[in-house]
Amino acid sequence: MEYGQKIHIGGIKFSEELAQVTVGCKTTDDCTIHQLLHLLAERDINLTFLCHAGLSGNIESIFCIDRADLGKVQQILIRSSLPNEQVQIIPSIGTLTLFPHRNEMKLLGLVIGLFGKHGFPVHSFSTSISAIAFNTDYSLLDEITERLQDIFVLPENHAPFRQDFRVTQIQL
Amino acid sequence: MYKEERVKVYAITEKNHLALASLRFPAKDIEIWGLRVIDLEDCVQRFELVTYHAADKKNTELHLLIDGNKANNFSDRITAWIQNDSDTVFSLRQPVDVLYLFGPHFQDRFGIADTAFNALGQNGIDIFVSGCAGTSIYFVTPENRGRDGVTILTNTFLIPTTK
Repeated sequence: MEYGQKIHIGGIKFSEELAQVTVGCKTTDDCTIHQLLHLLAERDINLTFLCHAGLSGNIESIFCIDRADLGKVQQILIRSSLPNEQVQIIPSIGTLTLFPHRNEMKLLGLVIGLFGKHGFPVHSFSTSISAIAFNTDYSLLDEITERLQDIFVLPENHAPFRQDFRVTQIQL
Repeated sequence: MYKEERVKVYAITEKNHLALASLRFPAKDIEIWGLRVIDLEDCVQRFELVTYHAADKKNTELHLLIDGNKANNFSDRITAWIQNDSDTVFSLRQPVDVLYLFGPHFQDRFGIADTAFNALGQNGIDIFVSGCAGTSIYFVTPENRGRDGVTILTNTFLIPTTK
């Protein structure tokens, strides 16, 4: 890539408004991600994002949920007896998902740098073979995308960044 | 959103002989590390997985999973950058394995992470790092545990096949 040349990417997608929950523990005896995930699943709470680091000395589990489910999640956390200092909640998050063009992943550093340069918060992110999901402030999604287009080129027929509707299973 | 009696995925696979680089640095240094990640991307050509999250009020953690054959050069670059930086901690764990689940619409179905984490945990598979983006979930495990993890998850999830 030549200096200053924009990169073609496959697309960008915004999530709905979410909340991010971080649960930190010093040992696996303090808490377990397994129990927490099970409690969330029992209450039909969907995780839209998850990352976990269980390396020695510091165990962190970070997940995102629909903003509307935050109350239920807080109840679960209280009942799990996790000390308050082990839980961090960011109540208004948006996931900005980037789809690299033809699986070209050499853009991660550019995006991280852009966020840092403009002071956009990066609360968490994770990559996959086809996507990079950044969690940032929900209110900044449009502004961030404008800045991203300083370094990226989107397809001409790109879909709206926001999902038009959502389907939910109900019990009759 | 819906629940399945047995969660469907498209595929479960593994990779071996990888290296997991973990960095802990002040959140204010993220722009510098963005530039360094560009350099590291050139070094390894491709990251298998990258995750990032806050470690505490001031610091963040960045985990980069790479081809184990490129770990020495990768590690040397990072070590050179941080040799006079007492605020940054770097560790390299090698070799490690990684499991991948690919599935349709993970974010539209309940209980996928619960099913995967508990299946692995109940069978004694430690998870060093996990990340989920799009329709993929990754689990970084100790060496030689990737194959066990694939077997466990294959018996747990339903992989539709066509004849």
